Amino acid sequence: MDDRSDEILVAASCEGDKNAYAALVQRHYRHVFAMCFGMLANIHDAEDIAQDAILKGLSKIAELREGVQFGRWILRIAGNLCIDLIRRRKRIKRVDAEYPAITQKAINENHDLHGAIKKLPKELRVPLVMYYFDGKSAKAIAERLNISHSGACQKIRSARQQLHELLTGRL
Amino acid sequence: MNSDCEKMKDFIADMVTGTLSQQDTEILNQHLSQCPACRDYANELKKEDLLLSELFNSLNGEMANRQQRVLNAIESCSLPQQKSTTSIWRIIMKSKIVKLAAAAVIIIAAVLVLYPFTSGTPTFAQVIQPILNAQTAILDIIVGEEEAGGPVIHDMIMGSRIRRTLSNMKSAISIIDLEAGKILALDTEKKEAAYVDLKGLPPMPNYMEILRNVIAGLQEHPEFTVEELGEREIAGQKLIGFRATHPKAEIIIWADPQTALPVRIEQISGQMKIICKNLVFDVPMDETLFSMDVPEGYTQQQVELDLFGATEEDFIEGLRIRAEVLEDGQFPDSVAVEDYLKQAPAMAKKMEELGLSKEEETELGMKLTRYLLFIRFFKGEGEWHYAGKGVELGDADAAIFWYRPKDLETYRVIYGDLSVKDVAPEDLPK
Repeated sequence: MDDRSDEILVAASCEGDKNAYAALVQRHYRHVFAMCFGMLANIHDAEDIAQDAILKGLSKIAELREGVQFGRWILRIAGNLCIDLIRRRKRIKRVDAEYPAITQKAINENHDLHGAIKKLPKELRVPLVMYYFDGKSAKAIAERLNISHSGACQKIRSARQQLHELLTGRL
Repeated sequence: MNSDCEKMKDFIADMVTGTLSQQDTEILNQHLSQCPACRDYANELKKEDLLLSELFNSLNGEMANRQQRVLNAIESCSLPQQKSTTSIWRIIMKSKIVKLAAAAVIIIAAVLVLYPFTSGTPTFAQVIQPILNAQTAILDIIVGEEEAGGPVIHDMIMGSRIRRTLSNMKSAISIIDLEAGKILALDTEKKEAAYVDLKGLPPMPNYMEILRNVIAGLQEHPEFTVEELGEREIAGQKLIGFRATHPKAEIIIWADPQTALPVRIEQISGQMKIICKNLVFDVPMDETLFSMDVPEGYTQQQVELDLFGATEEDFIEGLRIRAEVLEDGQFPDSVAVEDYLKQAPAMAKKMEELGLSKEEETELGMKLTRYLLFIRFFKGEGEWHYAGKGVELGDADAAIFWYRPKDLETYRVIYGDLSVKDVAPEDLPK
C-alpha cells in the first residue's frame, strides 16, 4: 500500500502518474461507495455511480486546489452524481448472474432491514451507512462529511432511532 | 416508560453506536437497572446493531472486487495532459501567501497587476515602482463603499510587521507579525493582550520582498488585461487611473500624474470591495511601534486561529450567537465583512454587558471570528446570498442564507431555525 500523503499523490497524479491516482482510489474508494450506497440505497446504482465519480475525479484532478482535500472533494463529486441520478429517476438494471450470491443472500435475509434503510431520509441514511462501512467511527464520518463530531453523532443517533421505528412498524 | 425514558432513548442509541460519554453511561446504567421498558428497548437496538453489522460486513466482503473493477477502468483511461509550466497566477492564487495578503495587508491585492504599458503619461510600471521599492508604507483601508460610513483601518507596514488600528475602536491595536504567523492584539483601555497564532500561514520574512517577487511573476500571465482610465478628479485631486482585470479580481489604481505615485487603490474580490487611500511610502518608522512584546501591566491570553479553516458550522454558530446573544432574537441586517466592522464596537459593548468571564469572552470572540472568516475567505462557488434581515431566530420557514459549495450543483440553504438543506437551483428562494 502506498503510504504517501494525499497531497503528494494528487500532485503526482497531476504530473501524469496513474499509479498515484490508483493509490488514491485504493485509499478512498470504500468511502465513495458508502456515500453512494447511502444516497441511493441500491448496490448496483452505488457501484456504477462510485465508479463514475472515481473516473470523473481522474479527469478533473488538475482542478483540485488542495491535494489534502482529495477525500472530501471526491465525496462531493460522488454526492453530486448521486443527486443527478436521483433527479433523472433512472433505474439501472443489471443481470445478476455474476452478482455474488453471498451479498444477495445477505440482502434477502435482511430484506426488512434493507427496506427500512431505504426508507430513511437521505440526510440520515448517508451518515448511518458510512458509519457502518467505516468501522463505526463517528469522528471519521464528521471529517469526511465536513460536519462537527456532535453533528455526526446526532445524525447517527437519529438514524438508529428512526430505523428502529421503521423495523417495528411504528413508522 | 416514564418521563426520563425519552431522554434515555437518546442515551441508549448513543450507547449502541459507541458515542455515549462515560458519565452518561453511568446515568444510563442506573436507569436501566430500574426500567424494564428501556432495557427491552436497549436489547432491541443492540440486536438491530448486530444485524446492521452483519449486513454491512457482507457488503464489505465484495469491496475488493468492486475496487478492482474501478482500478481496471482507470487503466484504460489516461490522465489529462498537464501544461509543462503551470500559470504563475494559478500558483499564486493557490498560495496562502496571496490569500493572507488580502486579509492582513489589503495593499497586496492592489499590486497583483503588472502589464508593460507604453504611454506619454506615467505608465503603469512607473506607478507601481514606489510599491516595488518601498521598505515601509502607511495607508488607510476601507472595506465596502466609502460613502457607507464604515470604519477606516489604518495600517503602518515595516518589513514583515503591520501595526493596525480601527477608527471606531480607538483602544484596539493589532501588531501582525507575518514572519512568525502571529498577531498581538491589545486593548489599551482594559490593559489586555492576546497572542493569536495564525494556523496554516507560511512564514514571510520580508513582506515587501515577497510582494516584488509576486509582481515579477505576474508580468508573464496572459489572462491579465490593463485598461487606461485617463484622468479624473477624485476628492479634489486630479488623478490618472489604470484598471487591471483578472477572472478572480479587479483592481483600479489611481496615481498622481505629476509624480506617478499611487494615491488610491480599489479592489473588487468576490463580494468585497476594498479601498486603499492616503498611501505614503518609505516613511521613517519607530521600531518600538511594531514590538510583539506585551506592554507592562497588561493581562495576557493565548489563542489559535485557523484563517482558512472556517466551516459552514462555524458560520451557523456565529449566526446563532449574533441572533440569540447579541441582537435580541433577530438575525443581523447583514453578514458582510464591512457591516461586521461597523457593528464591532456595539457588539463588544453588548458582550461586556453579558458579564462573561474572561475565558467565556475569549471563546465567544473566537466563535465570532470564525463566523467572520467563513465569509471573508468564502470557499463556495460564485456569490453567497443573505436574507436574514428582520427574521426571528427559530423561523423554520424563512431561508436566511444560501450558497453553492464547490463541485456541487445544489445549494446549501440555511433557515431561520438554523437547519440546513441541500436545494436544487430551481427551488431556491426568490
